[in-house]
Amino acid sequence: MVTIGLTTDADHIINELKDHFGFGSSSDMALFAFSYAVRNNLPRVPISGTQTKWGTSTFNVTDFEMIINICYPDNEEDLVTVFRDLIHAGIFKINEIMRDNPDLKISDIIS
Amino acid sequence: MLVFKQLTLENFGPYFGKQKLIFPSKKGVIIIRGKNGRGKTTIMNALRFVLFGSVKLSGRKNIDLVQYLNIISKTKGNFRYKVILDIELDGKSYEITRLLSPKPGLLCPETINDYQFPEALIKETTESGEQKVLIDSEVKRILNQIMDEHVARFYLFDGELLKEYESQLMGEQDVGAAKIKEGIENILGVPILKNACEQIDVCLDQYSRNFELIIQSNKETEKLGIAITTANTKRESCKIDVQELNSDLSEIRNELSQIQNKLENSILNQEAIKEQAKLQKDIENFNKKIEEKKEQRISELRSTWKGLLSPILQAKKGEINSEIKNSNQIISEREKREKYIEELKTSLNNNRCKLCNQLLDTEASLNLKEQLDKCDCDDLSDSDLKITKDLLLTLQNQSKYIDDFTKDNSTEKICIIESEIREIQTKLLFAKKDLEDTNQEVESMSLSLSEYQSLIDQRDLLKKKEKSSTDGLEKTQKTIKEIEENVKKLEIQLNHVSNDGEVENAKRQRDFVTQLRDLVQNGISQYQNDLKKRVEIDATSLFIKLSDEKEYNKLKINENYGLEIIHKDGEVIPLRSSGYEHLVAFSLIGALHKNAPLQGPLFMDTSFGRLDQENSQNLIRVLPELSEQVILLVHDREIDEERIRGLIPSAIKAKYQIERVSSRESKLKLIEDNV
Repeated sequence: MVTIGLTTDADHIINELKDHFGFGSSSDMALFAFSYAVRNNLPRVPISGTQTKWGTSTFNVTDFEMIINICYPDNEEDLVTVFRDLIHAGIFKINEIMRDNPDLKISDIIS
Repeated sequence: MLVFKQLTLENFGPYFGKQKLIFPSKKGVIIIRGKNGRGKTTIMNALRFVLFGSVKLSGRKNIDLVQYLNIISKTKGNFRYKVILDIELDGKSYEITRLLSPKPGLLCPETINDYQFPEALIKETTESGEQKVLIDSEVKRILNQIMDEHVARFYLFDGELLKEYESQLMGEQDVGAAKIKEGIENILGVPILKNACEQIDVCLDQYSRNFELIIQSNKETEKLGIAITTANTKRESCKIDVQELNSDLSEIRNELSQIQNKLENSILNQEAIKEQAKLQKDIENFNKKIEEKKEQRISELRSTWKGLLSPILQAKKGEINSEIKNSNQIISEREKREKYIEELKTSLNNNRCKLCNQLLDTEASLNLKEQLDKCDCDDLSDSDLKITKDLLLTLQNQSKYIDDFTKDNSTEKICIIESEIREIQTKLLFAKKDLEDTNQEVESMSLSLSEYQSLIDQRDLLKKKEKSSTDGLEKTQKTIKEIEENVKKLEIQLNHVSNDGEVENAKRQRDFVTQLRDLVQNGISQYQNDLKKRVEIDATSLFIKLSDEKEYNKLKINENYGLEIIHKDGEVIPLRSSGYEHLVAFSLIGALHKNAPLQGPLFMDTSFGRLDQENSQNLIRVLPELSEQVILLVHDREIDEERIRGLIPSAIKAKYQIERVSSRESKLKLIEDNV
């Protein structure tokens, strides 16, 4: 079974972000972070030492595969790895913005 | 003219060590800006402390003075604080100092009982520049001249405390109202006239006694003289009774008024309890709504990521469609070419042209073969064709995916939900604040059934006493009238009996002083009426400048200098908003300043909080008219400084910022001095 892992830091941050923005689950927050990374063309974060967080069944695989294929047509890497790296890139960036603005709201990010 | 020159705070409130506020001598506005909790109101309270020796806030309660000891100073073992106010009063300079210090021998005082009463010390600077310490009676006189404590709130204006004050002024029977009225009249100079009248009364006494002595010393009038003196003595005794009865009556009425207030408050308490329940329900509803909105947000956030990607996918769709078009074109050309090759092959096999059905000659056959070879060379390989077809399929799938993905996926909904949550949270915050106030109100007014019954009993008893005193008063006044009639008759008899010039002369003198006393009394009452009229006219004039409601065209003054708003149709506006309470108070402040024999400075703390933008602008415009020295204490968000500068460009004379050093220490910093 294919799984998706997070580093300890990222796991900690994603839970904080989830609570701060009012997401129902960390997987919803992860999808948001992934989309944020894609939309802002964030560079992938090199990751090591992850621990399994979700099975791929948590997400709709077609979704993230399709999006990666559409947005990164030259990608030759494993799609799950790309998905995981972009989740990390998104959560680290959102966390960085939130450090400067502790009252950050979802509407501030998406507008 | 009273001018504040400098205020020095030493270990008072958050002001650790010695800190000074220097007020420019030129006419204008001084702005003291600071965030909430930094010490703006403390500056007002320092003035109250130095002028009155106490700090009285809402509910007419005194604040425990020990609370103003700076905490850092306390931890360093210094339990004293001091406030010094330098003023100029009618051209003379005074330094008023008040110090709170522990009783001798006490090293660690805890409660106010461990401290000495903070007596004021005033030093007058003489013409030679020396400082002379004033004696107690002079200190009292100067302090009374500067500001009456009962009307101090009109000079040290705290927007948050105004409502209570206004209600006191409007309640004509209230004891507080009577004191405020007295205070206002003090400012306006009425006591000088009342003192004059009392002095005339003393003279009248002397002339009356002299008259009686002269009659008694004359043999012809001796008997009448004794009768007149006896009657007058009785009348004086009755007058003393009247005074005592009036004093009793005043006490009874004061007590009655207090009990009446308590009873009314307990009725109001029912309203407050209703309000409390309503606010609790509101809070419950707001919390419920917030939870509902948060649930909606969770649900909406599940798809918000799609909304975030929609624009980028829409852009990608353009590229994909263009690639689909290319692939379709390649495949379509390939199909056309295949058809052409098929036709060439058929023509060559049948040796007959497929298009014109004519037999092919050698040259035509060679030509067709040549074309066939050429087509074979140009042709796309089958594997390439397959790749192109696969690509086309992928692209078509992607295009369809984007169409489905971007359908109904906007980020607008989440923005709306977040804005709704914020709105409800703000309402919740206000409701909680209102509930806090209402809880305090309910607590302060709560009465048990037995307390309520006891108050009713006390009220009934006092009413009986009031009736008995009123009857006694009426009876005594009737007796006085009878005695006076009797004295008149005796004096008529005296006129017939006596031809003595000395008696005539003494009588004339006494009658003259009597007439003078009546004249002054009438004068005072005329002056009070004129004063009220002038205050009413000036307050109305200011109110019209302040208010943006053009249908309100007048302020009407009552017995206690309380002001009512009058609509242009002549009706009194019964329930006015907090904002309008402020405008009425500012109008009264301006009118009092204009009519007072002693012009003085005006402090205004958080005065713009309840005013809308238009009324705030109006107030800024009239600030220089309210007093020659206006000191504005404002917080950062209360009013835009640029707006003040735009409206009264040359009036700002100095600007101070209250800076935070720590949660227990603030510093006063002069950041602009335009003098």
